[in-house]
Amino acid sequence: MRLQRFGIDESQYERPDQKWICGWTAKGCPCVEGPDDKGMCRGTAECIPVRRGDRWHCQRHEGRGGTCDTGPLPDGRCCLTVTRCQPVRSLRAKRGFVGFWVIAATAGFIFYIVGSPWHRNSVISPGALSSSHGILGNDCASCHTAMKEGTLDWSRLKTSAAVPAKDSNLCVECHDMGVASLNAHSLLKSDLADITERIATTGEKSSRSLDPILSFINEDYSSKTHNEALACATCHREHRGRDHQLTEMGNQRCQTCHVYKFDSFPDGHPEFSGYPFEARTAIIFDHYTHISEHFVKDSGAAVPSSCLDCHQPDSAGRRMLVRDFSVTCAGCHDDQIRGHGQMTKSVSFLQLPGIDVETFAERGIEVGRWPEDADGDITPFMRLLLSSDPAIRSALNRITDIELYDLADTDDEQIESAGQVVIAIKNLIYKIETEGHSYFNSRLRKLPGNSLDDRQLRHLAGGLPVDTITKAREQWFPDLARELSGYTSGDKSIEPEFISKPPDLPRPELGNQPPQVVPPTSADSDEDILADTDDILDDDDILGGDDEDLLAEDSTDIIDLSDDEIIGEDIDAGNGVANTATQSLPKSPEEWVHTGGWYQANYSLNYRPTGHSDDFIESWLTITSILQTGSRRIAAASDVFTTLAGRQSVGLCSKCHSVDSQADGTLAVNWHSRISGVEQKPFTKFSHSAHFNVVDREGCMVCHELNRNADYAATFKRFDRTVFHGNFKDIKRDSCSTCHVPELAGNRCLDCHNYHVRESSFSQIDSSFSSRK
Amino acid sequence: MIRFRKRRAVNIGILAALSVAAYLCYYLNTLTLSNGNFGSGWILLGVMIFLAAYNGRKKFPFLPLGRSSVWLQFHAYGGLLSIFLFLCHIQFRIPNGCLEIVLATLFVIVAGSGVVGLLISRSFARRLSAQGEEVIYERIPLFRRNISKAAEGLILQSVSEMQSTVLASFYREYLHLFFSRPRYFWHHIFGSREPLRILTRRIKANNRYLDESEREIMKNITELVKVKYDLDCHYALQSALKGWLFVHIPLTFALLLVAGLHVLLIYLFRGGI
Repeated sequence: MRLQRFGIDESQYERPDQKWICGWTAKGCPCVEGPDDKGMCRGTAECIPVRRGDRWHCQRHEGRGGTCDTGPLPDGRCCLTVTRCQPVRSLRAKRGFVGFWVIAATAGFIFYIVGSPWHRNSVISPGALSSSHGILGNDCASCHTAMKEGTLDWSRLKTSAAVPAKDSNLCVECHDMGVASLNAHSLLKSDLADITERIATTGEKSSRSLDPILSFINEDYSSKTHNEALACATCHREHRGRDHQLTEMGNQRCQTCHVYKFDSFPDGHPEFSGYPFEARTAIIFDHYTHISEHFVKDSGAAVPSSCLDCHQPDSAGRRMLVRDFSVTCAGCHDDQIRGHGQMTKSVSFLQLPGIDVETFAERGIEVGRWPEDADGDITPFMRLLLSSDPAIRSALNRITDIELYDLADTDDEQIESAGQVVIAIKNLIYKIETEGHSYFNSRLRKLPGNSLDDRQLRHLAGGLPVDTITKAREQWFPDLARELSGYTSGDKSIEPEFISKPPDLPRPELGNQPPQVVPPTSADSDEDILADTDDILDDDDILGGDDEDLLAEDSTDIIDLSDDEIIGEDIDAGNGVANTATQSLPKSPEEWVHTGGWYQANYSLNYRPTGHSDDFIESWLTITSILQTGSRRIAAASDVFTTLAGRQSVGLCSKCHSVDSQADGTLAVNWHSRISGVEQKPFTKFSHSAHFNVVDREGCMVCHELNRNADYAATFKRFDRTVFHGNFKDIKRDSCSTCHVPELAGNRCLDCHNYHVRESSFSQIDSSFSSRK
Repeated sequence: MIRFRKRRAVNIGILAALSVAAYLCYYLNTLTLSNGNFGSGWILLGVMIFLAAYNGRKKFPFLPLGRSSVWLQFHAYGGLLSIFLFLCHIQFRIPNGCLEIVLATLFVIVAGSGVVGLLISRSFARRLSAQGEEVIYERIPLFRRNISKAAEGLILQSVSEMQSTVLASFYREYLHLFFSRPRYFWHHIFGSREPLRILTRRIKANNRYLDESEREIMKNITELVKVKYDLDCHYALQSALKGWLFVHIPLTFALLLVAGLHVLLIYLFRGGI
């Protein structure tokens, strides 16, 4: 059966591009005329008769049955009327209709999104923020300048390319990376240029296989990073979901800007240079001599047997920190710090110099009364305290080359200056006694460039007891208050004269005081001698006379020897009364305070360290270290520093704590094994704890090989910490590249390197709290 | 046919080469700090506009814009290329922003409908030529009516001549609905002839109740069933060939509009990169 025929009488002409079709089409019987352009039915009859001559002829299409039998009506209308239909759109028109409404709906959606403040942010957001930024929610304005006051700032389209760092400035409001936050590596451009030049001048050529292609398709970031701010979004791509790691970075992307490019860590990475030590250690500790000599000789419980006895990883497992002094060094060195076995056990804080009272009197300089037996020097501490008064500082400078105990040959200016200094010393002692620790505050705060807090000042005073200074003053200057009052009021009645040693001065000391030895039951030559010696030593005339100067100078040494060795040994080796004698023997003040503290010895007020981390010694070293050079330099401070920082100085601080010169020319004592103020986040990072599983029987020395030939000690003769000879040999790249391959430990750049060399600071965040909450 | 195959091989070769080049660009961009999404995005948008322009080309047949068949070739292979460009642009991950999801969904639907259209225009055309008489889509209702009238005429003839209602009952129960409207749309789309076999089996089963004259009429009706079945097949296939454009074309415009918004927002929020 053939369905379709073509012919003018056999088929209709189809017009699928017409907008409307007859509503009866679906029933298979569309009308001949079809709807008009507006979709209105025009169907009235099955044909439109034609008049030929005076007759109307039927024109019904063959397809619809051909000419009808009835024929047209007399008035020319068709006799077969057609029921009117509801025209429908053609297929093509339906498609256009759907297209129109889809476009309209889409445009409406877009206008709603752009114009509506309700759902706009959540809809236009290109994805969820990473969990670290999740708190920002849909507040686009937190990170985008394109969102201003809740509306889209379309003007930004004109400047979005020209101002690349605009949005990044919003990043650094929270992630402050220092003054160069938006520079590559957060480095100053000058530093970046220096590093680039240094690497460029090594002469090594890039070895990256894809380098020519990557250079072709990549932007010129090398020059860009040197001249422009680098937008944070260059590396940190946000809106990639909660779990997206913002700091992830491909190895090859890291090298985009680098002068020297290579394929991977094992293949082309430059050999390590001076890794891992870029500077000498803060604590002077010669690993080689300790391991090979000291630890071998002294095989006690205090001797460590492994590296972990002295070092431990930090909480992050990265750095190997030095354990506390008490568990590392104290076993061997604690007593040394307190002076045991040392020539110098204490330091003189106040000391009365010997002065030429007669010459003062002859020249009419009023200095009042002065202990006749005083023969010390002005200590650096006194000089520094006195220097806070400019007039006294000038006077001290004028008498630098003269001795106060012989002023016969001085000119008028010098002797007047000497007189000023003598009165100032009296005043200093008086003020310390009457004002107490606050006097240190008033004096030291006058020093240039000093801004000391109460804690520092408390430490500088060293907890000086009032009884000690009062007793010293009473013995040295019994009538000091009246004297100083006289100077102030112009009273001339106090003539310069010597004060004789008071009967109870000083406290019994070995060597010049008779030990209270219980008489022996039987005569013994040693005891006789000792007894005789007691008699001699007890003679105030001899010890209190002019010769005391000679004895006093070496008194400390004599006391040390007698106390610790000679007397003790002699008595121990004696006739059985040793214990009794030792118990009854009065100790010297220095020995009496063997755990540290203040004591008076003759005309000197001394301090003996209390042990490691002694606040008094540490504070004086710290404050005087910054008064060494430049505009802050004070000669007296330098003297204090020299006194305390010598290798054999009291407390032996500088035996272990290195001293570094600072950028501003001052010095700094490294009290801790980690140096504060030094770059905390270098380019390289390393986790020690992550590598504990690779050490074998050699322990840490698998990587840290001792350098037997290094002159480690010589390193600390200078103050430049960057010039040094390390105890250990440099680590080579091969040590790492064995494991750091993709199949094993991985070799991502960021495994070992930091990009930002400054820690992110949140100092700009308003962390203030309100009492209302 | 040889020429067609050669042309298709050349086109597929060019498409593959362009896809590899696009992937290489994408891969190399991941090795650099450059944001390759700007480049891939502009290329993708350009390709999409070119693909959409094919619809415009058909709107202006009088303009000397080249042959439509050539445009169709570019449209088909350009569309396939755009899918790969799209994957590179979204970096082979599923977008998670609302607008991006809308945009990606639109692209997937447009591209998917395009692929479907390409496939059915290739396969359905062959089936239309192979199955039954080729008819104009708009005339199918008329032909269906003619067939139905013919079948009803035969049934009425059998009733009047044989004085038997067996055929009429059978027609009313099993064939009336079949002849009155298009049937088995999805069977025809998927090329199944199972409904025809079922009908034929029923007719054969009913023959045992018919006499010789009725069987002759039934034979004619069976012929009409086959013609109607083929006509329904043409209707289904041609409907599908025209229907996929209802998805493809309107959503193309929606896609271009949302893509335009996407470009504006990207440049507005580019963050300095």
